Amino acid sequence: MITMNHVSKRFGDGSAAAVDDLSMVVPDGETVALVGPSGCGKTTTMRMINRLIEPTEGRIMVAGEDVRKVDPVQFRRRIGYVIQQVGLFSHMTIAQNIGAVPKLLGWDASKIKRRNEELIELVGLDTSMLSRYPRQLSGGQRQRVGVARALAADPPVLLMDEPFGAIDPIARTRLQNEFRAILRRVKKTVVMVTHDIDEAVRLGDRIAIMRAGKIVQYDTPDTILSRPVDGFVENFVGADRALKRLSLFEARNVMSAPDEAVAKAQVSGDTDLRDALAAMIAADADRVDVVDEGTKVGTLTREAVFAV
Amino acid sequence: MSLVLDALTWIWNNPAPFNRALIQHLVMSGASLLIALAVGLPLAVLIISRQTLATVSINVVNALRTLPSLVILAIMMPFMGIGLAPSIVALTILALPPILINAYVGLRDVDPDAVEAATGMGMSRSQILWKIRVPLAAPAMFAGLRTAAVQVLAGATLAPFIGGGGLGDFIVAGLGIMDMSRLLVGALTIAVLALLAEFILALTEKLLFAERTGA
Repeated sequence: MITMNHVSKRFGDGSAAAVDDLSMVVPDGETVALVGPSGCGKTTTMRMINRLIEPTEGRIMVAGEDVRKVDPVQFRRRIGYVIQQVGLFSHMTIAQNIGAVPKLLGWDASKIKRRNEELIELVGLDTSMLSRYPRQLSGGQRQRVGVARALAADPPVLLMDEPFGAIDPIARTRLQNEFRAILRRVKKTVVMVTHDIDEAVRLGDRIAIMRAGKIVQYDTPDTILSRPVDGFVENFVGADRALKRLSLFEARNVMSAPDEAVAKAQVSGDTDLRDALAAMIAADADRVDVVDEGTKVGTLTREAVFAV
Repeated sequence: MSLVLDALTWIWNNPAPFNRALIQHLVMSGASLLIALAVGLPLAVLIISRQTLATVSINVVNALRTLPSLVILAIMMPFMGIGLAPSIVALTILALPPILINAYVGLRDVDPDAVEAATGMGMSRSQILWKIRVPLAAPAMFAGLRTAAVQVLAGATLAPFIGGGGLGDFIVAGLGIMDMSRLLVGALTIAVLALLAEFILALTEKLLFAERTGA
């Protein structure tokens, strides 16, 4: 659990607070996305957690420890850190990059090797990549290695700064979905900074919307999208928030028992409602069949979609 | 062409003086390069996190760089007299600027994202220096050595003016007695040495750093 208690940060005396009396709790195993326009203090907030920036006031606790009372260098080895530009070490192989923290922690070579192989597969790359150098990889592959490197020593907490910002939009969505699947398996407490509300909705268990160093709303994606607290949040999440909200639900959780009629369109059980609605519109139908592995498992009606 | 042939014949017939001059030239250049490396690289590491010291050192070294080689050699004579030692000191001064400046700029301009990632994952300042900055700056350091080596081999030609010996002796002697083939013995050998040094160091650089830069 990460607790921030009345935390403020001023860069220089008398200047406006970059982070202004901010309090929040990140429960264990949850992913929190800090979102907001540039300059809202989201990155500063995240960087105070692993003491890359020291708060001016307030207290930050990680797993019951006051971060100001621990040695920052040792402490950071227990926190995974992913940045937008990845920052792979170009003079080291992929294996040496991923094994960097385990090596700092003094693991023996065979344990590091086993862990490297495990991780490279977890992030969906071939073990033959381990002997390559970062220059030889594509941007998406490098970002995967960055995630593997952050997970290497199995840290309970992961900090991510715009982790998918430098990747082209198509690969980004795929990587985000894969990353969500990885997070379900490894159970980490994650604080992620992004300016992309779609990314926050896709990955966050909770979203903190920030403005001028303060949290404006801290809620689940569902609540943020259905009940924005003010005009700023409403504006920030966009006019299509009702559609964005539909993407939070899967067809299999909203469908009713299969009926006899054959609908004009089909979707799979894990299709989100936004895509299912698009399928209905495309087929000019008021219902779609939900089909998994060739068997019709349910019927999804437009009324059911509108009712969520 | 006959002058070149005459020069080669002279080398063939006088191996002892030629070898002595060649060895003097190489010893003088090699020693000054080693000293410049021994001073320049640690100095670059020392000043990388000390802004004032860095500005002072870089400015001093840049000022040295504007002095002509002959001037540096000449300045040595009143202080150290004549011979090999003052020549080596003068050549060291000649080699220091490219080595120090390349190393400093290389260390300073290391990929900031790599440093950020290293800090965030829990490397100490000294670990970041030795495991990240120095290896990442190694190609720049090597490029500095390459420039310095060629400059020193060429600069050593002027050593005869302060009694340092070396291949420049043949040029000075050739000029003195107006013997162009003797002059070529020195000039050609120095040219070949400089080209050879450039070629070998470029090849070494490629072998050392190919893996990480190649596609």
